[in-house]
Amino acid sequence: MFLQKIYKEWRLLFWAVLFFIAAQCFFMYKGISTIPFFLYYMYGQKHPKKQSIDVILLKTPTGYFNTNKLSGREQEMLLNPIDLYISLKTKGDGNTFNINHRFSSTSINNYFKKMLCNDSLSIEQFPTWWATYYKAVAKPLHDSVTVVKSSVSTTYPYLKLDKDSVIFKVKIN
Amino acid sequence: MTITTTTYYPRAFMARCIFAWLTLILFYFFFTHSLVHQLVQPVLKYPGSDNTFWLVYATGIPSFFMQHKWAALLFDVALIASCILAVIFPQKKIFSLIAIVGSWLLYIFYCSAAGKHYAQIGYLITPHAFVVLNEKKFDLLWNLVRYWVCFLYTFAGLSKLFYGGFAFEGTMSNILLQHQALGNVFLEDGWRHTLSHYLIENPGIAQFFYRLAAMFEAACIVGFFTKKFDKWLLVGLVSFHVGNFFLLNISFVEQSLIFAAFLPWKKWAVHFQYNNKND
Repeated sequence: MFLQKIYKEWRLLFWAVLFFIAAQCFFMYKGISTIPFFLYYMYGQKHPKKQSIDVILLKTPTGYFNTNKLSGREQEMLLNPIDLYISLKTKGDGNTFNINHRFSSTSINNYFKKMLCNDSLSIEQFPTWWATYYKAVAKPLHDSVTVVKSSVSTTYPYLKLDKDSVIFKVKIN
Repeated sequence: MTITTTTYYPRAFMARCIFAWLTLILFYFFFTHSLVHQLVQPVLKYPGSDNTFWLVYATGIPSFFMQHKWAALLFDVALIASCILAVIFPQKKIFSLIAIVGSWLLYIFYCSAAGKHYAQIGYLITPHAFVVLNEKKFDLLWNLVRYWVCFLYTFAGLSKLFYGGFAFEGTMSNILLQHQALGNVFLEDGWRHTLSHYLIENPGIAQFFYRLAAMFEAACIVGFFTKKFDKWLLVGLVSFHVGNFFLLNISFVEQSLIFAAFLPWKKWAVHFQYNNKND
């Protein structure tokens, strides 16, 4: 057995592996992914059908910019933080609650909030950062873009529903 | 002298291949604007509830590299250079160590800026075995890397059973609907789009593929007991990720390094007449 082998041949590694297994079990039980103890359960849950699916669209003077033409990583970096931005604007930083929950000492509490949480200035600066990254990856010819939230029907022919709600508008050039 | 058998994994040969592979992944990051200096100093951070992210953020390291253009550029250059140097000097442990630490930091920076903690982690796991030079110890660590990969996929497969995705008939077609939403807005066509629509319209067939994938993932548990089926695990993993790429548009460039755990390195060492004395 592999564990017996490492116990005989490299005792330190044996204890490290035992620690890793214990920590992995602990974080699985707690349901908190803590790298390197990954919780690899993506797409494991039931996915019931929704009425519509929310999408983030980039409205330009010449129509919607097709973000599917970007690479997966560029698309992730461009679209995903918008959800975080919306959440920060509407609900505030969830980590403030987590820090209050985890640390009772005021000094540690304040230090972690300073290092981990997004302040109002960062949130305010987000559209400007977003525009810089957009300019780098999309190389747009237009001079402004409006980021909107919309939805797509989940019944054939899966059309975009009419209503767009504006998240922010930025100047590009 | 002809080499006909090799007891240990050919560490130096493998180091050259793995770090060359990692270098290519980093070049892919470069061409997809996702190295640290290309993130143009993100203003938001997302450590989530991950304790390791918290600890790393508490040191101030991410903020320093993410907020200083030159520090970010230096970080990227050092990371790529360490990988290239690990290819050239596989027996110098320091380059492997820098590459490993740098890759983990890059993962933390990227996920934090993207506002989501991603599961594409193959490039983080595989290089770990190269932190030692001793052949015997390297052998043990390489086996551990292989077990780690087997564990992750087994866990993913069992999660699909445990959390209900496997049993629920509409799981795959609804996942496809979600992934196709943007494509539907842009009225995309082509065979990938047509295939996705066919599967959305036929949830039973879509769910068959989901279940097949889940069963394959769970079957990775066999890797804990024998290496006899490694060839099939490799074929299964490649097929699984190619399928994900075509149906869900999930790139597996970053994840591709997990394939290395199932490659026949010892056979190749014999084939290329490579032993550890060549180092």
